[in-house]
Amino acid sequence: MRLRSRSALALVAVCATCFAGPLRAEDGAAAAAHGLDDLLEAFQAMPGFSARFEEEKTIALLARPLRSRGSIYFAPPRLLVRRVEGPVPSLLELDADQLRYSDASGTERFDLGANPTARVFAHTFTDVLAGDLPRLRTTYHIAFTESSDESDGWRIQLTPRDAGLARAIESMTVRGHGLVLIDLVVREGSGDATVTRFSDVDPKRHFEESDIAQLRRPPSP
Amino acid sequence: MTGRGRVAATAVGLVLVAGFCAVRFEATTDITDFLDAPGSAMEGALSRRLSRSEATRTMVLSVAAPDLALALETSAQLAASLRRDPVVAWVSSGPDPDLPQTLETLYFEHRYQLLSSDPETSLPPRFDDRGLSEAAAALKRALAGPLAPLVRGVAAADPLLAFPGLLRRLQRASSPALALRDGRFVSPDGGSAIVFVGTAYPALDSEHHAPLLARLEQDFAALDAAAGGVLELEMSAVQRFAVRAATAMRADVTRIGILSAIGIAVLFVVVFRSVRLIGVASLPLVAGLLCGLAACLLVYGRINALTLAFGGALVGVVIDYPIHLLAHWLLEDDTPDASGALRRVWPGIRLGAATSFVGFAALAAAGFPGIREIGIFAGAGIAGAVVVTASALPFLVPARRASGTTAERVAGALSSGIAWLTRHRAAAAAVPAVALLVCALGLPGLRFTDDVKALSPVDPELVAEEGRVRDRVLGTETSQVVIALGRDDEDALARNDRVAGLLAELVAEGALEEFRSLHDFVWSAALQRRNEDVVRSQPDLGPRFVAALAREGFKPGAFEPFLASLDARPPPLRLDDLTGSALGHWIRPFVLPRDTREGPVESRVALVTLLRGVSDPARLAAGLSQIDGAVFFDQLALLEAGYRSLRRAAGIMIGLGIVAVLLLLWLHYRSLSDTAVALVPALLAAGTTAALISLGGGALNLVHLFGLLLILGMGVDYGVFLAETARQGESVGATALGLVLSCTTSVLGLGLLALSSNPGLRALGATTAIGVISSLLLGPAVLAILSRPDRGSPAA
Repeated sequence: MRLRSRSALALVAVCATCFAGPLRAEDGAAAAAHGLDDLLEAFQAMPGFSARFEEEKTIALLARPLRSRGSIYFAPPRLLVRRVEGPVPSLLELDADQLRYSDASGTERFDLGANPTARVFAHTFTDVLAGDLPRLRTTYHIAFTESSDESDGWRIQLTPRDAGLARAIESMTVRGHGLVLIDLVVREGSGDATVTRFSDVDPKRHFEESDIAQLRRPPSP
Repeated sequence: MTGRGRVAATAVGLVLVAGFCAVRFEATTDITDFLDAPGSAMEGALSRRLSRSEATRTMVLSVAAPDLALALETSAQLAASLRRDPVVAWVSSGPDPDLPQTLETLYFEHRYQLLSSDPETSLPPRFDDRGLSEAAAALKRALAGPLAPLVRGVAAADPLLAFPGLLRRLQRASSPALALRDGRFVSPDGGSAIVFVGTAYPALDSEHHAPLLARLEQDFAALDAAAGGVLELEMSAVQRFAVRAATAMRADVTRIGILSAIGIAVLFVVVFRSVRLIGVASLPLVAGLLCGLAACLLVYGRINALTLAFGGALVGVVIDYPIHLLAHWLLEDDTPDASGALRRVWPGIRLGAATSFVGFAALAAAGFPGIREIGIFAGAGIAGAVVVTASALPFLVPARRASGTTAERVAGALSSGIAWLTRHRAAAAAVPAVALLVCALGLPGLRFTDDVKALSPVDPELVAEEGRVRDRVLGTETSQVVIALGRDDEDALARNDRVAGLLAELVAEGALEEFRSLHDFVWSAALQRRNEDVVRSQPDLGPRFVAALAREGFKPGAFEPFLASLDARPPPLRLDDLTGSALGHWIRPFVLPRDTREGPVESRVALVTLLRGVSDPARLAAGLSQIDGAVFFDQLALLEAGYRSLRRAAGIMIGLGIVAVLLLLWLHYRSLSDTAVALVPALLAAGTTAALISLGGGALNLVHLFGLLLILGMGVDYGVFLAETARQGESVGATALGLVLSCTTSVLGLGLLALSSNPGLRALGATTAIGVISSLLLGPAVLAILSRPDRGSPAA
């Protein structure tokens, strides 16, 4: 049992839910032709990001998968907000190394700095949306495939370089089209898997201060 | 024995004493030696242990920069440099990367033993059917939350989520006020990088910490210069106060020492036309200091630095002996050599030394170990000085004397002056009258202060910086603690469990803001077993919980590890398991160092709980009184109380010393007037000094009292020499010259300390200077008033 790996896994799962979404033709055409570098450069130029998601966690302990739905928001440089609307409302906020989780039972704060491994995974998401390719390459082997047919989009598969992490997280696979994410699949070493599908993706979302304050409001009990 | 033989024997003796001191020398700066009031041995011993604890040895560095990355980079370089320093025991700039594994190894198997501080009450509701259903639902929620992978990893063996709960408690306890960036400690506002540094020596050991702090400042200055001068380093470190005080005192003593040496050299050249005689005159003082030191090393095995300072000052009284000897040798033609001069002044030296010995040795009867030590030092010092004065000094003085010297002219003038006063007693009476008037005006308003800060210079900027860093990082006041004492770890932990329970109640009641306790990390074996027993006593806990889990959609067969864990009976987690682990830095500050060789308090296990915001001390005290072996400890309050007791005890001992001196003088003289000549000037001088300090708006502290004791010692010496001279019907010129020289030497040697920046040294210097000058003025005046006509004029 390795807590570091477990914490890392948790954050991977959190990050993973932030990707994907349906294709928009006008965004996909530009990015698909320029490979990974160009794709991440395009992410870097994003003013913000929002999407709806549906998530399905297949866990060995449970007879049936856990499902949830909600919205996800990213405001550069490092703020990620994930609102789960059902079946159990919750709010997750990741700002640099500070993670805040609120649900009907209250709010808990976690400092990711206490766990370097967890921190690396947590920042994977923001690194992708911020287009920080060097940091991603430090942590992962990256396999990037792009269909010659623009309508099929691209696929990034991240495999941890560290053997210890690799035992916990087998792989993370993101699919998208242009700046629009389609889905994310996280496969864990234990055999558990989380699939997150995105919809209503807006890669040009701009957040005012008031928007961010609104996003950070905890769910009603 | 010939003179040369006596000198040789004395030299051999002094070399042996010096050799003994060199071999056995061991000094301590432990101020608690002076605070162990009779009846407060436990507080004193605990205070001593606190002063040596890892908590006080830990320095906190806070590095600020325009951006945090630069602050972190700077702090990393400082940390790397500190790790190479031999004075540094450990450096921590962030959590150990292996901490998660360490926590799992240490705590996972003990998760059921560390469930609740009150297991019999709080656990049964968690384990009834409703509680288990809630636990199953909580597990499902947790699997969808941010810590889902952590939960998934332990859920099969720990579906009650006991271990994640334990981790949250540990996280809160280990670094409550700190945030982390890149795995490194930063202040909660994210503006400063934080580094903890543990040193290998007690915090007050300035000898080791001065170079460390100098290197640290040098390293930081270089980094700051490289960064363009934008960095800021702040510290919380007891070591810095100790080093700052020691450095300032050393600088003062050096500066003033040079001034004193020059002044005394000029004085000897002018009066005796000899520099060599400075060495001769210094010999009794050197011998006195060596004998005092040797006596303390013999009795205690070590000496306190404060004893060296105060005891050394008291032994300074012996400078009178060689000076009177030299004055008589120089001026009196009927003394063919210095041996003859010694015979002339010996009665005065003998009686003066006896009175000083009695007065100072009275301190040895004090209940405070530190005061007792000073008494022993001073008593042995005076004895040693007298022996050397009598045995060797006359044979070191050159046979030839200068004639027509300044000394003769001064002695003549003094002699005439005293003769004039004897003829005009009303004029002579004016001197003590003025002294009495000053006493009458000043003594009624005399105040004492027990503010410890009055003794040592505390830079307000340093205090403010210390406060800022502590607020930023620690969030607790280390001066207010609760200590749980026990005969062994288990006994102390059991009491600590009860203390933690009480403090939790006080926090809930608002009587206490917060506390940090070892209870967050480990409980007594008894409490751990109680938890285990409650868990195992629940009927069908395993099957009932698995059924509840199944109702929430879990696969029943997945929880075999949980069912197996309910049958395991691991040994309880022990304190030793933690202190030797990677958690040791967090644990050791809660455990006071133990010394089984010392007293019963030192040999007991003592666990510290740090408090913040005690708003109802009475409630706290009442609660702790119900817990045997638990003590509320306010270090600042204790320091002031101890200091107050010390000052009072010193005052009483000085009073008793005066009575003893009075008796001794009376037994020697059997004459009221002679006794008065010997004693009254000293008493009036001490009173005048105290009154002048009071009239100047000052309050007397402990150092003033020692200064007054020194004045009494010197003043009685002055009086005795005058009385002996009068009794023998000799010319008072040589004696008066001796008094002037002694007074001048004392003012140059000790009085100049009044120029010091250190309040303690300043107090000692000012008291001594005022006192000896007063004694010098009062002695001849009282002699003139009380001289008996049957002996003729003292100046005849």
